[in-house]
Amino acid sequence: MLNRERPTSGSTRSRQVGFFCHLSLDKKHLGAIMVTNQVGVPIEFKYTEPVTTTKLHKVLYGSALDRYLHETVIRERLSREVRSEPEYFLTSYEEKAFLGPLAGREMMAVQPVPVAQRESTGPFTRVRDNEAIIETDDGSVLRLAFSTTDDVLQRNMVTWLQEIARTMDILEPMDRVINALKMLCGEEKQL
Amino acid sequence: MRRGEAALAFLRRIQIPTAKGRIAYGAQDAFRRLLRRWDLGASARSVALGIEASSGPPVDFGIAGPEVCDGLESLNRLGARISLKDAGRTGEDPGDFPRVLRAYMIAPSGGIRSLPLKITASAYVSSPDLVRIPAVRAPNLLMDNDGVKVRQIAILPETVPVRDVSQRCRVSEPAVRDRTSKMTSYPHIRSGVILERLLPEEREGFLREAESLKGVPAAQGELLAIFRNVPVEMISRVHYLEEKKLLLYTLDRERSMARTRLHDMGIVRDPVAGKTHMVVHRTQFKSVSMA
Repeated sequence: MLNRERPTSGSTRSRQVGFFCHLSLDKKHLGAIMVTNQVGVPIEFKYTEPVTTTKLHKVLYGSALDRYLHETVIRERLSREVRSEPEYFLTSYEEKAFLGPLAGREMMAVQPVPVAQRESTGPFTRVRDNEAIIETDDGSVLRLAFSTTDDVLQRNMVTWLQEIARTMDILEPMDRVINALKMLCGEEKQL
Repeated sequence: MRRGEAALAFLRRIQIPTAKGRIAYGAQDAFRRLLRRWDLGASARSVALGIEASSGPPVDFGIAGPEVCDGLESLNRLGARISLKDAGRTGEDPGDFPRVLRAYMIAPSGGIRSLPLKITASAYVSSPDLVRIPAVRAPNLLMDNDGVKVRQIAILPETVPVRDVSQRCRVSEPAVRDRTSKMTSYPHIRSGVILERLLPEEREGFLREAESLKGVPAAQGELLAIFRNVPVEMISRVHYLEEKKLLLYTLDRERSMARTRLHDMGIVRDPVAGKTHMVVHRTQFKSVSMA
């Protein structure tokens, strides 16, 4: 029989993981943050009411509208409401163009790399100034984009992420948040 | 004046004796000087005055009983093009057009003998609409009014009304709602590891666990999926979606734990019995603290 209990450096420490999601449905935009423990149990979940953009908004804001919605209207609004203390925030890779600190914590956009596209990677392979590909202990390969270009900080974030990945599926809570937002949007419609 | 000339001619014709002739000559001379002083020597002149055109009130020159002729028809007939610049107006709007043109021929007491329209015309235009010309103006419009080409300026207003729609342009700040308790009720959806990358030893280990826990012979058991780090102690409901190879579970909200174990879980099928079993690996786990 194999030695089944794998050591986890943070097994005795409590680590909180932040998740940020932005959902665009038709002309509605809403966002949410969820902070979980290292198992994935929600500690805090907050979401914004949907913001509807008009044609006038599109004309006046132009190409800046998306950035304004993601960064100012949604993210900054949620930043003011975070009460728990996650170490970093994770978000979907689609959000990488709008990455930035949330409630004073740096953020990472995460995307699983399909098996077919995997090349020989190590624990940390830099792709760009703010992007890297990492491999977790269970063999999963993830593409990361960072909200910071600080190399030291990026490596600290990767170490933290690999530690979190030993105790939970780091992508699963984001799906949960998106599903919750869709359900809440349906509730808003019914109201 | 004609009487004076006749008297002078009479004086020249009469025969005057020597002594008397001197006196007569002196009288002639004195009379001639008198005529000069009165300026009666020239014949009557006809004075042509300039045309005064005005859209304002007609100018009264104060000359009693002048003979006045309206020269507008003549102007139209001639197809004259009145230019304010030519007319002596020094404004920067040569295209202005007076609404009403009236020409006054002012005659001296002797009357008018002709209408000399070829002389330079003077036009003075005053109209409230044309007094102030804004800096912004539309292109001139040319109209033909009975042969007289005139220009009219479409004047744009200097001040336009401004509407403030700043409130409509602004994206309103959304309200934030706290649904932490509701979020804990949402199911966790987990996907399994890739079985092809699994070590043979680990595969055998799950089959042995299935044999000891569920009674499925290791030789005939079929390993369908493996899920890592499942908090089995906290799960209230669990379901395996075979077609999607997904594990769904919800956590017990009532149960608060300081620490828990995360076990690897295998899905093993017994082809003989036709049953699918969830097998929690008893020794393959991690202990974690709960925040």
